[in-house]
Amino acid sequence: MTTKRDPWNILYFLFLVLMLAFCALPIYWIYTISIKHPVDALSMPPSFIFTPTLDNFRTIFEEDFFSPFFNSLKTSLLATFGTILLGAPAAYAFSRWEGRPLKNTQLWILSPQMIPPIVVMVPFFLFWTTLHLTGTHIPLIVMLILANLPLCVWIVKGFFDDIPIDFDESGMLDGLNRVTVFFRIALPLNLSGLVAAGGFIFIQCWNEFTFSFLLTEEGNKTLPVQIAQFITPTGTLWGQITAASVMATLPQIILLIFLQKYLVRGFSMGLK
Amino acid sequence: MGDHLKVRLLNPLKRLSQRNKVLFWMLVPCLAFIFILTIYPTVYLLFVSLTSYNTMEKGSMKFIGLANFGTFLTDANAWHAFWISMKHVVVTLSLELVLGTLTAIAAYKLLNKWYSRWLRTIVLLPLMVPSVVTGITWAQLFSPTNGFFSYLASKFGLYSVGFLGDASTAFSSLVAIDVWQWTPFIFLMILAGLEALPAEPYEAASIDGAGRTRTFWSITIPLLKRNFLITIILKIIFSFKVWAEIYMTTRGGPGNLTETLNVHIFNVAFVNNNFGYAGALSFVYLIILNVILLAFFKALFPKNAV
Repeated sequence: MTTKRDPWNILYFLFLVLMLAFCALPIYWIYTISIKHPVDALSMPPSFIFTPTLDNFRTIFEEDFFSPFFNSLKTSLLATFGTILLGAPAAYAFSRWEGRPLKNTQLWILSPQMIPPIVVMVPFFLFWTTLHLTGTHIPLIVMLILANLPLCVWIVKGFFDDIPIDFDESGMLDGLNRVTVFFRIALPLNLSGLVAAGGFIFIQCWNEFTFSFLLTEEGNKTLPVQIAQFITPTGTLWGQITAASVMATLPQIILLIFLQKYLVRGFSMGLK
Repeated sequence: MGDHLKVRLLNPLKRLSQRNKVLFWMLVPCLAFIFILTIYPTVYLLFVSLTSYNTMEKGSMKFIGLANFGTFLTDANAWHAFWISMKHVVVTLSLELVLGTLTAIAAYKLLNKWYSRWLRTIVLLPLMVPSVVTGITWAQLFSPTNGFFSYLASKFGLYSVGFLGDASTAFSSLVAIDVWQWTPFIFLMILAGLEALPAEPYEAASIDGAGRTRTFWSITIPLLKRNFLITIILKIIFSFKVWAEIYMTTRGGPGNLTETLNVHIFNVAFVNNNFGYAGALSFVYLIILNVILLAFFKALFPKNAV
């Protein structure tokens, strides 16, 4: 028995290989520079064969790396937690609302998601500096929550919509009220949705640059801000900058493998 | 009528059913948070834009009426930045739509191969990279001293191509960066649309003897219309946020050839410290954005007045 082979598949395959190279090469390039000696990193033509070294990583670990790294971890985790804390109940309410659906309210809350951070930086910068809070992580965390809350509500609402309302009804018959139904039935059933939304929001917070750049100071800056500072007036420290970039992309690449099937929901803001 | 209005305004909660009342209180924290933090900056922005506030000059917060908006109308740099932003959005979006759709179709045809999952993961990688790292990566690839693309160009006999530093190539180089980062997004969205397509129209088409091209244009594209609309809206939203990639590579240069509105507003506010004027620019930008997005949302949700 022979299966009919579509000759077009070869074309598709070749096109995909090209796209694959286009997407992967820049990342491969940065990853290899991070394990090159400075001599290899700066040579022209570029050295494709070289003896790998971990010197660049050793240098950044000895210098100012862990403090920004943990600042990023702290702000991203707190912001993710805060977003879900505010967003999950609202998502449940939107999903279970009786009567005329709150479509307009739902569309209205998307607005913070659409505004470019630079546009609101003038008022927010003045606000947070007047309160003398730029030495703390509070401004950044609040901004991150604001930027991700609409997304969180829409994604999590999508997941709640998938849970049949009968589950809630049977809980109510057993004497639970709305609040206890939410905590004892809806939330546990929606755990995977919350993890997916949380993972996606964490990546967004971890990657965020504009707010971090303008609302943190020398002592409490995040990893992207620290990386940007490796470009110095006297030249770019390519070894250090690429090593730090590797450390700043590893968490997302690991999360990507696990979160892939929820990625559409994340990036589409749950719009259908 | 007056009484009726009073009841509606004073007792909106009474009109809610017993169940909705609890749900209403679950909504309140989230809605209040978003409401306060969107109304506050908008009002404050309008207020600052009516003053001559400069962060470096003490007592410069003087009310000057609409003077900043008048300055904007005759400010060639601002209009240039607006033009660059629009050009950036349109050029990148068109390129990414074509490339992303083709990639999605190719991946869809090869869906059930053993390597399809890995293939997809690798194509999606650029979406996961922080904008700062994207900027750095491409600054290195385009670097005239030891960048990969400079090396590649020299292989073709093109020496000293400036890429990001050259007036003739700077904008195209920024487009290339955007295409790298966002084509995977179009790919992701369109592939999801393709996977959700119903089988019946295709069976009907094949019975009617429709060819490959005809099926694509008459069935696949119309069925994916909504997916394309959503993808385009979202990409425009993402496009208007682009700042770090440009800040890390060209900073708007050479001259102001790649200065988008975001870069321009950042320079006016945080380099020239002219907060009053930056506020006015931001406000105009907000209105333009609202008009564009409202038009798209009207198309997306025709029955709901947004």
